[in-house]
Amino acid sequence: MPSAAVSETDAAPAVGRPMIVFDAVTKIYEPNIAALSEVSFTIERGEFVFLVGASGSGKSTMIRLMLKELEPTDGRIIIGGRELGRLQRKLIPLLRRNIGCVFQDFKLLPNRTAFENVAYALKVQGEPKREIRAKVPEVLNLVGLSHKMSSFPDELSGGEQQRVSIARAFVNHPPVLICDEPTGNLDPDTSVGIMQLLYRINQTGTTIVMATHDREMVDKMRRRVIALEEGKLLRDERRGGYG
Amino acid sequence: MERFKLFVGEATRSIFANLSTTVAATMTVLIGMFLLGLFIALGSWVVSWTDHVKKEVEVKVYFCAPLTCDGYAKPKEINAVKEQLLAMPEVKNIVFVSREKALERMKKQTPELAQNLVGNPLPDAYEVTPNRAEDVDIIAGNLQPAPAGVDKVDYAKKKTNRILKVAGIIELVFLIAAFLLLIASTILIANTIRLSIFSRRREIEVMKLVGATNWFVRGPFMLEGLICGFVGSVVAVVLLFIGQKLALPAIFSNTIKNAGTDVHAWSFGLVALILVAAGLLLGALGSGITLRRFLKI
Repeated sequence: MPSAAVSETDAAPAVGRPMIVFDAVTKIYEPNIAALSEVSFTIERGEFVFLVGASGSGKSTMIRLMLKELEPTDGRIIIGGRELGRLQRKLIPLLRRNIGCVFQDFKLLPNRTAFENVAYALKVQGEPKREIRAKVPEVLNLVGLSHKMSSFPDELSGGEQQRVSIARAFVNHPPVLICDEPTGNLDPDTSVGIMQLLYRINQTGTTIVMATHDREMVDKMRRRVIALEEGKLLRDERRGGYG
Repeated sequence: MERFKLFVGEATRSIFANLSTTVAATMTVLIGMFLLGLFIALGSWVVSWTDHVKKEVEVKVYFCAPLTCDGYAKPKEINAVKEQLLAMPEVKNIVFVSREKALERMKKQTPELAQNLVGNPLPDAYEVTPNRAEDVDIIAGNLQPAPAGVDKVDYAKKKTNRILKVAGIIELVFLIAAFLLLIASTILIANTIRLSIFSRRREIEVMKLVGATNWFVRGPFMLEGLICGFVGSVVAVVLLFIGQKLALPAIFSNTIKNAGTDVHAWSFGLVALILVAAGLLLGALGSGITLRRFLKI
């Protein structure tokens, strides 16, 4: 299968090859609402980047562009050395297998247990059962949920559900993890736990891009901050605060 | 093989997880296929019946007899008429009914009339079967004016025309109705499938986000559609079978017996085959096509 080849080349820590490149990306929604205009930045492998900005500043558009859910009106997006504009439609699933996604609303399947939700991401890739039985408990253990493997999402707290969704995003060890306000629905204490988990995942070499409104968290972490305002790049600081 | 097992697993899982929508889809297929089956059976029977009736349309050429003209027609005259009939391209075949045979027939069909007869008043005749029922007009027209020895040419003009007209209308009505029924049941089934998929669009969204290929998403859904289509149509066939064995004879026994032996609906096996095939096709195609809209993420 070609998927293995793609993931191997992308996962290889090619020195000096940036993970995510936005090159003068413009996205205009019909008829003429500019969600992003001329945004350029480069994210290196292993970076932890916050994406901040008010609602409607273009954060979600940016994330959807990275997943190739949307096409940019102008400019280039390169992820793991591949230009998304040239990526064939049928290769989109392979791109998404190399980008873990975590969302504010978790997006777990309600009629599946924590184990099955995580296993699903592997099944989709045609992973053999034996592998699934080995990898899923391992990653659930990593997120601290080894005792709730057979719980359904509605039996888990918000924080626990988000941990399951992080486990699902991380189970293939993708080179990039994109998080769209992962702590948006959680209370501050739970959020800290989730951030610690993301931090640990980042320490394994995974690039993390996280869109957030959580001012306190951003100020505390002192990581790279890319700030957007009305679709324009406002700031890009190596060790920034929320603003 | 591994992937197929996975599809089967996912499909059965979602059938039981969404039992109410599955049942709704299956019932829709069942109703659609039941009506279609009823329709095919009834329709093919009626078409076969009109064919049969059309076959009975014939031209009768009565020769002279003492009662009508003066004396019997000569064999030469009869032969001349035969030659003339055989030369017409519209004629399929002709049967000579001698006056003795005609009397025999009459004794059989209306014995009370025949027993009072003194001697045989009946004429010799030709029964002419046309290639197409519509041709009787032409054949009768070619025998005007009546050749020597022929008393009269009879083809029940009014009756024939009415039979042809009614048969034409019946065929047209059945064709239109079958068409409408097929469209209606397709829309109904597509709608049910759309509803069931709509209620699971979140599931599809997640599938796409974790990198499922379109075929991976579609596979289980289509398999589920296949299963619904199969179960629905098989139950419809069973119901139709029960109906054919129990209800039909009670209602129609006389009509069917009187219609003639060469009048048949399509065989039950053929109808069953058509229904199951249509059910499978509707199920799989319906879910496959409906899914396309949701796969554009």
